[in-house]
Amino acid sequence: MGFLVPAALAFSAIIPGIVALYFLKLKRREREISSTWLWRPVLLDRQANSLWQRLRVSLLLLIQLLAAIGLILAVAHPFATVKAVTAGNTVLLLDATGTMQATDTEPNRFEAARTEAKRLISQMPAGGKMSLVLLTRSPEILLAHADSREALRQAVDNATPTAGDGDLAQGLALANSLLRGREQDGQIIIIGSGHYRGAGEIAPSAVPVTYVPIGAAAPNLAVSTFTTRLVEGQLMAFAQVSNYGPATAPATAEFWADGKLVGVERQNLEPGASRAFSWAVPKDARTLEVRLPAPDALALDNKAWALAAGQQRSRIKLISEGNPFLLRALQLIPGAEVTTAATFEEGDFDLYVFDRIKPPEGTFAGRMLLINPPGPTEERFVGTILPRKGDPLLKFVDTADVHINVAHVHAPSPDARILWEGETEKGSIPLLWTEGNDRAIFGFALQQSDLPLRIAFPVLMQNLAGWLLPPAPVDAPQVAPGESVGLRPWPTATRLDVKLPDGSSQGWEITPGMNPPYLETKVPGLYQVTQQVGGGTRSATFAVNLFSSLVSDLTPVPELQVPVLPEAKAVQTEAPMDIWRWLGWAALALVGLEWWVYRRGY
Amino acid sequence: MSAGTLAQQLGYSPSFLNQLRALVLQNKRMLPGPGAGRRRSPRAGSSVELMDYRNYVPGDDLRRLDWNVLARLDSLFVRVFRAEENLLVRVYVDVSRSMDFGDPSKFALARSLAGAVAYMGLIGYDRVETAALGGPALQIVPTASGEPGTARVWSFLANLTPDGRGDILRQTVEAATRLKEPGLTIIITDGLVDGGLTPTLRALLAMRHEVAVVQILDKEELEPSFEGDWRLTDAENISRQVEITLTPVTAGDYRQRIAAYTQELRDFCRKQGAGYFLVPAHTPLPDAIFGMLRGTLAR
Repeated sequence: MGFLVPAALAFSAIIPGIVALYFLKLKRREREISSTWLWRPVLLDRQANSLWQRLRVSLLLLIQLLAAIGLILAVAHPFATVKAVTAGNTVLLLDATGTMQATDTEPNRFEAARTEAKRLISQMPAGGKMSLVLLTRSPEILLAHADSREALRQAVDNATPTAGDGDLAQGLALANSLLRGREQDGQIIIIGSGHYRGAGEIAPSAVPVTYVPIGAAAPNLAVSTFTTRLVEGQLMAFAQVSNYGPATAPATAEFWADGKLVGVERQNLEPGASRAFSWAVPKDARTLEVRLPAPDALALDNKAWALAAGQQRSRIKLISEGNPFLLRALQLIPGAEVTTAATFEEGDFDLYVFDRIKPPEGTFAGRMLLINPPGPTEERFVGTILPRKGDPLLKFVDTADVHINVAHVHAPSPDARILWEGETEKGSIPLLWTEGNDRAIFGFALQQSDLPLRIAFPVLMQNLAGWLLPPAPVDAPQVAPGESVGLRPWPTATRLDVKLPDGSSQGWEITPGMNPPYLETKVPGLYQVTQQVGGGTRSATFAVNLFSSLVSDLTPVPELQVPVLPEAKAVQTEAPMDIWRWLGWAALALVGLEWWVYRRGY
Repeated sequence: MSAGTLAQQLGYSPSFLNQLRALVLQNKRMLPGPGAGRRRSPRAGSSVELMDYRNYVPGDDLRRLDWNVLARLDSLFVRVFRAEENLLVRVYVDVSRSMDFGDPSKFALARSLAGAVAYMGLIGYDRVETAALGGPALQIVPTASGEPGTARVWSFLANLTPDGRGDILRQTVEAATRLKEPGLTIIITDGLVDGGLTPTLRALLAMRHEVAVVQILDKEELEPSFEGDWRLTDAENISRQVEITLTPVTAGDYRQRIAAYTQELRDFCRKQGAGYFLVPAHTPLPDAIFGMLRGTLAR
């Protein structure tokens, strides 16, 4: 034990003074009364009944001396040296993965980790610094090199767990970068459940790493997969349920479609086993959900979502007086819904195909495939077709056996991309080109060519449709919590809104060419993406599902194998622990006791 | 000094005295008196109340023979009639130094009470003896009767000073045995004597007196309000001192003591058929006297 202000011990000089003052004869006032006859027994009673008869004079003195000693010591700021877990420079890696939401530890593992973190913060040595890193899929620094215990505790209180898994390799790399130059008294402490990705890719640490496990083995059933497949013409939903608990458990899985319960299935699962559940998807169902209603230690993995296959349809309008080859080629495009008409009428279509019909002029901004648009153009006989080499739109398109009889001479725009040129007696002319990013033009009538009869035709139509048709609004129908989702808005969309599973919404204005990644996928559930296009809206949905054994496996990991460089020294720290507060409170309590004893007349 | 002046000195208003004139001291038992009067006596006399019969002896007044008994029993019996005598009232006032305490002083009330009780006895044609106990020597006014004796009694009381340190028990016995008739004895005191008042009362009761005790105490004696470190000196004996630190606890202990003492006196008097009255010193005189008299002393 030591004293931070040893000079304060000089106040001990007042103790002899207290003793001297106490034993000075007490000055009493004189008073004549009618008779002392009844006062004498009162005095004798006090003397006879006092338990501390011999100490009657000195009890108050003793209490006063103890209070004075307590106060003097408190002012001298004593401290005791205790062994501390934390070093001079410590990085706390706080596990905030979905596993930490398990309730095997009351109220949950994350709260237990918070308590442990605060305990370690209280052990931070005087002059020490601590950094706080949240261990998630993308670890983030909450506080760096803080010497204030209060600030660290506040940061711990503000931390929240996520639904996804955690990347230990990244977390340790981040921690080691924080301790660069401070390795001598550096230390990393991991507080968590022990199940992380990247465990096999950890670079050796330059400082010692301590692991504080949180949690206990607990029963947990999880939905580990949920998807849909077309089986013999019937759309089926398949869910895999896994038992991560230590004992055989009955698994009841409910299948919901568009918010209505469709089916329930039950199976027994041995520990570590997985079983498949399947249901037929109702016609016209859009959103599907599987639920495990029985409560267990982790509720986060008891639900999963999926979208009924085929909801993403491309709508194509063919304006033609009749072209069965063209119609068939368009119908072969996956996900295409082809509508035919003899005349143009604007509607809600992804692609308009004008077969020898003049497209509308003016402000019409739809995507178009024009086949030999009419106009005063010269006709020429075509010889050899010269394709543009290496163009992706011509991939797998073999023109060796394609012949074109007559083509019209058109004047493509200066920025046109010529895909096919044709040799004629008067020079080469464009046969197939694109303009901008929303128009493809054939300079010849399909009837004037044997292209529709060749294998190249449907391949070419697929390539052109893939380029012309707008992409799916999201680049993946399903992602894991914390993963980003690419949003691909319609080229003419002006606003994009994303509605989260909790009902909240985020939105922003869109400019052409923007393909923003969406990062707020922390919560499992269905997310709805809505675009404002022209006068209407277009919607798409994607699911965020927790299919991660790293999160669902609640088995505690007693030790973490983290490689450490040979030069990393184990840190044994002693930290001073303030005890002056206890002495101060004790002294105040003694003062109160002294007042009470005095009032009692002891 | 005239009775009127003495009445003022003792705090009696004319209306107060008028009220006293309407009252008569009431005794519980038949007591023999020193002379003829209007109270029933245990002795035989010449009132009209037949008390008993006895055999005729030569010399008896023949008018007392009961002729009916003679006719029936052929025996000579004489009728015995009860005597009517007056009452001997003894009024004793404590003049020890402890009575000179409080504001208003206990002695002032004691003296006024004594004068009022004596007045009632005098105008009721009882014989009243007044004495001061606790002084250096017993001071006593021989018996008087009738209103003319008022001035003498009041003058005696008015000239008393509470500065005695005498032995109350010894002086009480000395006073009580001066006259052989027992009578009604009213003792007005604070009762703060060593050993308590009980021995004095026992002595009076042993002499077959009918006793009434009026104990007067000041509010500071009942509920001391001073706190802190004190050296308390006994007014009657300055060598007796008590050093005490008065805290709520010690004050509570004292209050219990005084309450126990007054209760002890009350219980003793009740068991012995004596009267007991505790009168705080600040009680106005009319409230004190009429409150007492509503008890047993007046009808």
